Amino acid sequence: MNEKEKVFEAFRLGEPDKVPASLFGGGMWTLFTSGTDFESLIGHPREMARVNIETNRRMGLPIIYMGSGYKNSHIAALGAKMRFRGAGAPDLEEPLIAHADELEELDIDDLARDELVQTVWEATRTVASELGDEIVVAATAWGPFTLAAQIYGVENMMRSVIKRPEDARKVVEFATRLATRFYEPLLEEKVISMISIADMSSSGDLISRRHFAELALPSLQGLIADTKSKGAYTLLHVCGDTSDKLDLLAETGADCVSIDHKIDLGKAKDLFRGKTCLAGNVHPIDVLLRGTPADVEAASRDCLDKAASGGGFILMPGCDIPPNVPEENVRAFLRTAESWTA
Amino acid sequence: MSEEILRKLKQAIIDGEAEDARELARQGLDQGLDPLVLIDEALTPGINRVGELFTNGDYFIPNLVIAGDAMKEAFRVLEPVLAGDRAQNTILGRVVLGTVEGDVHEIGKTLVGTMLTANGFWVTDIGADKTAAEFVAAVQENQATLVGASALMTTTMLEQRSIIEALQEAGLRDQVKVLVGGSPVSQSWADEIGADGYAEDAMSAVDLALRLIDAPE
Repeated sequence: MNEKEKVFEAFRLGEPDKVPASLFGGGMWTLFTSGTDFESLIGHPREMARVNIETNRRMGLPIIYMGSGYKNSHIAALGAKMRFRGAGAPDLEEPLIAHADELEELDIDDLARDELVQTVWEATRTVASELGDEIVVAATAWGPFTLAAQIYGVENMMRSVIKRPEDARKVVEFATRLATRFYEPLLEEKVISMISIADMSSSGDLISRRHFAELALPSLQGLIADTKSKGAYTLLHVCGDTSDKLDLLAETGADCVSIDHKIDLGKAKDLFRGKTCLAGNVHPIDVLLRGTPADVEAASRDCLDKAASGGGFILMPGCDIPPNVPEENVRAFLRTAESWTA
Repeated sequence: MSEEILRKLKQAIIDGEAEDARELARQGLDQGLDPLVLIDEALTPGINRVGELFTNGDYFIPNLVIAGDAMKEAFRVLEPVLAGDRAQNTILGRVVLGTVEGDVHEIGKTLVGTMLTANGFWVTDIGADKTAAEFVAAVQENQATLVGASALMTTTMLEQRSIIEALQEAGLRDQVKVLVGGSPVSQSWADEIGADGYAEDAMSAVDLALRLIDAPE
């Protein structure tokens, strides 16, 4: 079984001979450790592919997340201005719209005309032709609710959830179509075998279970079902304390759900058993950034002991990792899974 | 009658009804109620109730945002009629609040500002993506005794340390207490960078600020 098969075996709730261990995202870290940055790769798909392939080969990671760190470019493609921040992921200077009516003036196909989106697509094709048989080549975008909050402004989105739920729904529906448009060519050409969805604003730290169920869940289910019909797997990560909606995360249809370091891994394992693969949840800052390799080993072993028995588990950080995480800590993280036995 | 207005105004804050809050604040003034009474007996208990509901898990960020909107609308009516001296005398402390350089996340910091304002602090919110130098300038300009620095990204939390260093260099570190917050931030990070305190959410930021101003120099 190669690395890719091991990951998908875990997705199918099986128990590969070794527990897979993977980063979530890792775009900032990949670029920073390669001595490059987000802005300088625009228009250079071959260079973007090279940086990703080299980092992947050096570290031996089983999943590569193309477009990681560039997720706001999907909104910038439609007219919002993106601001580059060196090692940090680029963000938007202003939300794309102030009122839901403005959605009617937007053309989703502008996404396909954007130079940065095209760079990511082209780099993904190169990476897939090079590594796609051995490892999981995925593309990554914001989850619909998160993307909507970025389009509309987070504060405005939060206000609308209660004051103007119809507007909130319209923006989420638009965001779902935008995310779908991003994955579309890569799925149709069978370039990627998985989509990765990062849904930070669906966090239990922001919205209630009811609002998640009404606004975020249906769009996630639609996007994931669409992906499945095109023959690819889905990995979903929701940030923050989602302990009151873990059962709903298991109902999204995602093959694997990656949870935040705030969640009790054992509790999540019980709720996910027989439904979806669980991934998590080593602390990306307190342990991976600020800990020693021995700290990383201890925290990783703790996660494995709680949730790896019986399969259907991938060791993962509890969120994306900062750019300056020491390489030796990532190695310690991978090594712990490699040597772990029940 | 005044009891009725105070009760309704408090409820308008809890429900996040901005128009009702504005109208009730006006009615209160028309009936001769002291604006400070309207603040102390309706706005503050209202927003603190919202905080309790959040802490208990009944309220989420959308509720906090609309309650904050309602409080601001009422304040806008009351502030111009607060007698200058009297208002100054009731201020517990002057706070400069902002999100650090390179970080555009506004919402958490804004909610902290709302809660501190409602609890008697004078808050100057300098906004998001602000340099250490901008924090220092705002502290000087406002003679602040508290600084709140928010960072929501692992790449920007380092700026909280830069702000503390800049305050030291400007000779202001002894006159201010520095509070840090944001999702990647923790108490151990606050200790490491020499901040005076860490608060997990807007409600605990108020408790922390109250503790810090009572702390012996």
